[in-house]
Amino acid sequence: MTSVFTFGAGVQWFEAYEVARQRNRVMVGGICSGGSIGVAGGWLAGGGHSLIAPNYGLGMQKNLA
Amino acid sequence: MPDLVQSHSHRGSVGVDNVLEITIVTANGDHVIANPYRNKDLFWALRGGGGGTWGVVTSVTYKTHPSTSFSAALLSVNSTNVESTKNLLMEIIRLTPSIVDQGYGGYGFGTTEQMFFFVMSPNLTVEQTQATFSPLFEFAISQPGFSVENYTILYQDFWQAYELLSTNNPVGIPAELSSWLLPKDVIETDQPEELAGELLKLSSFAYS
Repeated sequence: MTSVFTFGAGVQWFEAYEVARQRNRVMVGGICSGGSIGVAGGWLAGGGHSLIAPNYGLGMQKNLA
Repeated sequence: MPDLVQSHSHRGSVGVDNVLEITIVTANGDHVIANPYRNKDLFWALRGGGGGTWGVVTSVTYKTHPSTSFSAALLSVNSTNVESTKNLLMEIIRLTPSIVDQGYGGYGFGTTEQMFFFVMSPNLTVEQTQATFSPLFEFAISQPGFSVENYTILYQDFWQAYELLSTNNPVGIPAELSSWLLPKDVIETDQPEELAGELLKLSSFAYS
């Protein structure tokens, strides 16, 4: 099962969440009306606060080929 | 909006902790890969170093997690009594270490006239959420000058919660952003009144 997603700049969180839902995955991302925050932009550059961040912070540098 | 978070928990994290790789066009025109092995200094800087500083990001690779249910609590208050608002904020501060230990994350916004508080945690039952938040709900209902809405709810997955959260809010809120990350020893203060007073001096606060 795919557990790592790569998104191009310009993709918005509502699109990313839709992809994750189809694959039965959840992502640590932003929430706003319409989901129009970008996955690769200032939200991330500022650190990326998320509703579910308290639970999903482990192993960020372990899986990369 | 200061965030009330537990900074030294092994679970404490933000979006950048879930990033595995970033591709970016740097100021000299190179399109490079930044990850823990290649351009690692750039990778480090990109995860929290501010917008637009390091170049133009062209893609981000995120780690994902298995889907799970989320148990949530919501409390929304309109207040005509400043003391009541402050008292409620003190109760939320007192409850915060326990909430964080149970894996809740969320948002709160408040002024002296209104307060909104929403948190959710994976892998908990709605009965557990009710047990945790009923005292807070009852406290809010008992305060003079309050009009209170509250509930607990089980979302089957993140998408269900997201749909409700993202469609019910207007675009933009009248909030002035600031950034305080409050460590646990500050939240576990023996003077919650002082902390509540400081937070309410701001135009709003956020809870996460």
